[in-house]
Amino acid sequence: MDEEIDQTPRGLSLRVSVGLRNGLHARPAARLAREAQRYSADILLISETGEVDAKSMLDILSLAPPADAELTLLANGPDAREALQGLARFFTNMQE
Amino acid sequence: MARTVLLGTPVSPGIAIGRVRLTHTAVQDEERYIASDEVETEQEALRTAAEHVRTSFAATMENVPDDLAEYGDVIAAQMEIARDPKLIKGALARIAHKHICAAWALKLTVDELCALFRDMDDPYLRDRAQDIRAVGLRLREYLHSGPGHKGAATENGVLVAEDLSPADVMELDLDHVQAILTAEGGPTSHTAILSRGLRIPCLSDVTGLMTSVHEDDTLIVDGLEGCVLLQPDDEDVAQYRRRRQEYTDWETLTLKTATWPAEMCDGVRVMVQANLESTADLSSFPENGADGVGLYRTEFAFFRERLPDEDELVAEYSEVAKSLAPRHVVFRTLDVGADKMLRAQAALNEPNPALGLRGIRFCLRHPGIFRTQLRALMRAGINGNVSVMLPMISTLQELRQTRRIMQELHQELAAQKLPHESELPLGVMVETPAAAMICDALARECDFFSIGTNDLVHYLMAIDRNNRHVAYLNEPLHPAVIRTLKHIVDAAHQEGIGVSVCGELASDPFVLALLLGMGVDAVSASPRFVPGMKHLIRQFSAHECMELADNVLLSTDLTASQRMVREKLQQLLGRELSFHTSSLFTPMTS
Repeated sequence: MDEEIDQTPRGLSLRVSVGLRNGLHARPAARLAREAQRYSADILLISETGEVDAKSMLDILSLAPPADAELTLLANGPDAREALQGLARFFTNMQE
Repeated sequence: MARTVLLGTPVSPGIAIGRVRLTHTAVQDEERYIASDEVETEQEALRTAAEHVRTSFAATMENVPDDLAEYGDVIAAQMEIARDPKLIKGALARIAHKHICAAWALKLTVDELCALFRDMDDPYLRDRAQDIRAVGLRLREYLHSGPGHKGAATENGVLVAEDLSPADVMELDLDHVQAILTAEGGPTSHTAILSRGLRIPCLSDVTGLMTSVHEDDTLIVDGLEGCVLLQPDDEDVAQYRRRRQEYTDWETLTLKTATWPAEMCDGVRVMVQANLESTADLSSFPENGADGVGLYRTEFAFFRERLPDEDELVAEYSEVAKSLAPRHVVFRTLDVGADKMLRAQAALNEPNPALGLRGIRFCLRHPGIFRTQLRALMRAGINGNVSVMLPMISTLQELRQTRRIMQELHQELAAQKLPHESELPLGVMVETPAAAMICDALARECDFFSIGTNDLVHYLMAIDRNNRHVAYLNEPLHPAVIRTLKHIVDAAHQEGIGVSVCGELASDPFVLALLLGMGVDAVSASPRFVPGMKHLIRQFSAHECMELADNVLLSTDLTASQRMVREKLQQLLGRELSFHTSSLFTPMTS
């Protein structure tokens, strides 16, 4: 998994696909925000339409990514790598 | 004495006379500038409030009653909003930057977030504004009066709130609530749905509500006409007591006579059936008096974690068929698309799913799912009272293809020696203009018609049901709609098959009278409407309805049609008309 995480000028980044049947609706959005809140790193969720705080359910909802969207996670902070690994696991589990 | 009347949207019928119990303290909202040394205190107050509200949501979650389980998700989402950085950190920052008190900062943040969500295209996301507002109200209430949550009224009274969230409603001691008034909401809000289910009169979107009523004021809630009388005098109270009595008597009478046949004055009988969502709705039988089920929606089982297998479906369909026998049950095959989607469908990402791969189109594209469902229906069919209805038919081919599949399945089932019914009555749901235009051909090859009025009106008038800019065209008395309905009914009768109407409109007295006049054989509506509809039908005569329908069919002027129908119904029913729910006209106050 580590090789998928890239070092960019803005921090560590990772591409994920949503792959949820109804997109990121309230329940998955709430769970994603909760997962993100476990880390102290600042985490951004970036789509074609904008950048939002991954720790905010409302922010994630307002991004409204479609079910098949590809998103980028961008993390900055001491536990940035752990955060991205945790969130990658989270997206994989959600799709199962 | 001059009295004030407030107008609102009646979302749950009934009349109540009682004293105001304000739930939220939104009226006395504080808007105060603070000194620099107060910033810390105000921020701490907000953090404490957020913590408290989260804890109380968690406690409510534990106590969600079974029949309201679907609202558990809503509360979970609201709990998450109560910890959301966008809301909480946003408000904390406002306190520090603008030097304003916590309640004010919170209000501004909530308003900003609500505005953001209200403008979204997706109706699902638009509705989240409701959740944000609900959380905001909880927080402000805590900031104002501390831990004593007043939502749980313990004295009799009329509950007044800006808006109520499912969590609020669940905390209510419902024995003490005479009526509910909200400043926001609408007929599809949580409050509306719950109050109807609980038979509590309710008005939403009451204009000027929060500024004109005060704790302990006596007022009259007229959930039939959609108005609130402030400071009623003795005469008003006496008049509304009589009216309430009339309504209660009417309701009791309809329930008591629910099992009587729906026979018109001149002896013509029609069937009044119920639309069911799931096996949970079976509990309303036999008290609702319905002559069977005109529409059993089968989608419920398909929206769990995984697709249902054949045995699960056989169990569900058999339970319905057995518990309702000898009454007839019409099962509509999977109709996913417009509102709810399966994974396979969502993946298509159709820009306009209402016109996309839905209903029979989806089923024929995914024969695995369709065959499983049809096999289950054929197996449940041994109970002898099962019919199958196909949604969204627009070509003859779709009907023929389904018949072919059912013949194959019959051979399969016979080879497996599984008991089943090979000749289930197969009906077409007429809801596309295409089906309406070829209904003579369809009628020759199917066993019955069912008209889905909601979709038919949308497709005929070329309007998107989620688009409020064109909502004014949602007009069932439009000559295009009336003529189409008549055309379908005549085509069915020409070929000697029955025709029923299973859309929401069937329960609307104005449309019901016209449908009877056109000669439909059955109408099907939500179970709670059935007793009232039967009572209504017994006061009509087929002859008068026919005359009315003929006149409306000749009319090309919508307003004239509306006037004709309204006058006739007023003449036939008088005050009883306002006891029925009609989306068409606001009943006239007499």
